[in-house]
Amino acid sequence: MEPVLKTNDVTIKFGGLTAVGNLNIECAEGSISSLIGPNGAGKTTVFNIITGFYKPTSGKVLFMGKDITGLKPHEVCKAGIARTFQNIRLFSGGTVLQNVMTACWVREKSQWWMGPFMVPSFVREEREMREKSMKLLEAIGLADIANDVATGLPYGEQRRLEIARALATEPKLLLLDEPAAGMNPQESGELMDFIKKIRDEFHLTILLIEHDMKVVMGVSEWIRVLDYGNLIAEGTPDEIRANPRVIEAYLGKEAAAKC
Amino acid sequence: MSKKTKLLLNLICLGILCLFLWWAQNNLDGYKVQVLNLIAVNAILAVSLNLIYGFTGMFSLGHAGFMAIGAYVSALLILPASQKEVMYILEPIIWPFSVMHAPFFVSVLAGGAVAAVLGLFIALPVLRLGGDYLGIATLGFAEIIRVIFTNITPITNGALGLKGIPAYANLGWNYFWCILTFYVIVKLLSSNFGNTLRAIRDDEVAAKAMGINTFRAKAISFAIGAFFAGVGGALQGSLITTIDPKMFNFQLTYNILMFVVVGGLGSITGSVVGAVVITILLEWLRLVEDTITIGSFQIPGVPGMRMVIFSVILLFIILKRREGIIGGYEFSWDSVTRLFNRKGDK
Repeated sequence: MEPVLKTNDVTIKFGGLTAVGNLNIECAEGSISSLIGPNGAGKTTVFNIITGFYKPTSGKVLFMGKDITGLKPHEVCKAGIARTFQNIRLFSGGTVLQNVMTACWVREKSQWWMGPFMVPSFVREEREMREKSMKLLEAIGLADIANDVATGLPYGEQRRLEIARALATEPKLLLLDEPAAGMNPQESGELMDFIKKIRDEFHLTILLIEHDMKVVMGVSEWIRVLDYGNLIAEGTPDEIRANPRVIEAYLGKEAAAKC
Repeated sequence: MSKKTKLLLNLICLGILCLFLWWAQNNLDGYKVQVLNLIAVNAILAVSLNLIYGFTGMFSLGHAGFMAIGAYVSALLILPASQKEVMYILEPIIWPFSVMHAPFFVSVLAGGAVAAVLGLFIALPVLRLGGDYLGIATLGFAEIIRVIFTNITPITNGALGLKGIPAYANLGWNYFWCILTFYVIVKLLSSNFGNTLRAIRDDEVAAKAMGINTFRAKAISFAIGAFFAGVGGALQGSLITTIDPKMFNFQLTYNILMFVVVGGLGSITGSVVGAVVITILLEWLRLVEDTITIGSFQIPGVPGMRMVIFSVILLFIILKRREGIIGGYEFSWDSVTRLFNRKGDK
C-alpha cells in the first residue's frame, strides 16, 4: 500500500551546515511513529520541511503519492497535513471555539465577501462550521469551556486544544511536535491514550517528535532516531531501546561502552 | 436573546438615530451640524484603520494617502465641467477628467474603489514586511501619493487643489456611509473570515499552518480598509468643499491612529467612542482659547492652548488605560441584557 508520507533523500543546508541530510522516512497509513534524537538533531526542521515552512535544498516530500515539495504551508494544510508546535501557538485573542473555527476555514467553500451580503449558502455553512467545531470540542472534552479565552486554559488543555485545532482542518496526517513537553506524569499518561484515541476516531496517521521516552515507547509503533541531521537508527521501541548507536547519541561513547 | 429581537433593537436604534439627525438638521446651528458630520467621517476612518491595524495586526500608516485618492476621485466626478475649466489656471485639465461626471453616491463609491485598487497594488510588495517596517513603508507610499498629486497638475490642479466642490455630504449621506461601513466591517469580522484575520494578528505562523492563505487574507483586509478610507476622504472633500494635497499629509494619518488607539485597538465600539470623544473634545476645548471670566478674574485666551490640554488628556488616557477607553470590549445586545440581569440579582 502507498505510504501516507514518504521523503526521498531530503536534504536541507543552512549555509555550510547540513541540518538534515538524505532523510528517507515512510509513514504507513494509520500508523503512529516517532522521531527522536538529542537537542538540535533536526527533528523540528524535518517538520518544517514537510509542512512547507522550509524548502529542502534537495530531495522530495511525497504525500499520498503526490509531490508536495515546495508547496506553501497553507497549501500543505489543504492537502491534508496538520501540525502542532513545540511552543504552543494558539490564537491568543480568541476563545476556544474561535480557535477551532478558524482552522475550519481551510475547508470552507464560502468566500470572504459573502458575509456582508448574507448569501444563504454562506449563512448555512457558517452554522455548520460552528456545529462541527462544537462536536470536535465535545470529542476532545473541551466543549464546556468553549467560550473561555484560549490562553487562559491550563497547560495540558492548551496542548489538547492545539491538537483539536489541527484536527479541525480535517487532516490525514498529523504531526505533533513534543506534545508531552511540560506535562506531569499523569498528564502525559492521559496524552498517550488521547493520541491513540484520536488516531482511531479520526482515521489519522500520526508522526510525533518527543523527548519523554515513556510516551515515545508507550505510543509509537515505529521509532526513528535522528542525530546531527542523519537517521542513525529505526525500529520498534524494543529494538531502539537496545540499539548501542542510539545510546551513544544520547549518552556519549563512554556510557554506551558501559551498557 | 433571539436574532429577531436583536434585529428589532438594531432597527429601533437606527430609527432613533435617523430621528435625531432629522432634528439636528432642522434645529442645530451650522457649527454643531458640522461637528456631527465630522464625527461620522472620523468614525468611518477610525473603523477602517482598526480593521487593518487592530484586527489584522498590520501597522499601516497609509490612510492619508488612501483618503487623498478617494477625495480627488470623488471631487473630480462631482465638480461640474464648466467649473473645472475655470479652476485649472496653471495647466488646463486633460480629457477625460474634464468631462467625467457622476452622481454623489457613485462618486464616493468610485473614490473608495480606486483607493482599494491602489491599496491592493501597494499591498503586494509591502505586505511581505511586518511590524514597524510595514508602518514605514506605507507611510512612504502615502507621501508618494501626496507628492504625485502635487505634481500632476493637469489632473489635480497641483498645489492649488480643488475648490468649490459641491457640498453634497450632508448629515444624511455621511451617516448613511458611516452605517454602511459599520455593517460591512462588523459582518466581515463576525464571520469566520474575521476569525482568520484575528488569527493572523495573533500568530501568523500558526495561521499559515492551519491552512490560511495569510498573504491573501491580509491583502483583502488591507484593500477593504483602503476602500473605506477612500470613502471617508471623498466625504470629507465634499464636506469641507475644498481639497489640496497638503491636507493629506502624515499628520492626518496620526489623527486617525489616535482615534483607534485611544478608543481601543481591536474594538469597533472603541473606534466609534474614540472618534466621538476626540472630535467633540477638540471642538469643545476651543473654549480655553477664548478669554474666560470667572467673577472679576479674567484668564486671557492663549492660541494653541487647546492642543496643550488635549495632549495632556491623551497622555493621561494612554497612561491610565493603555488598552484604550473601551479596551477589548465589544458592544452587543447580549452584554446589555447581562448587565441588566446582574443589576437585578443584587
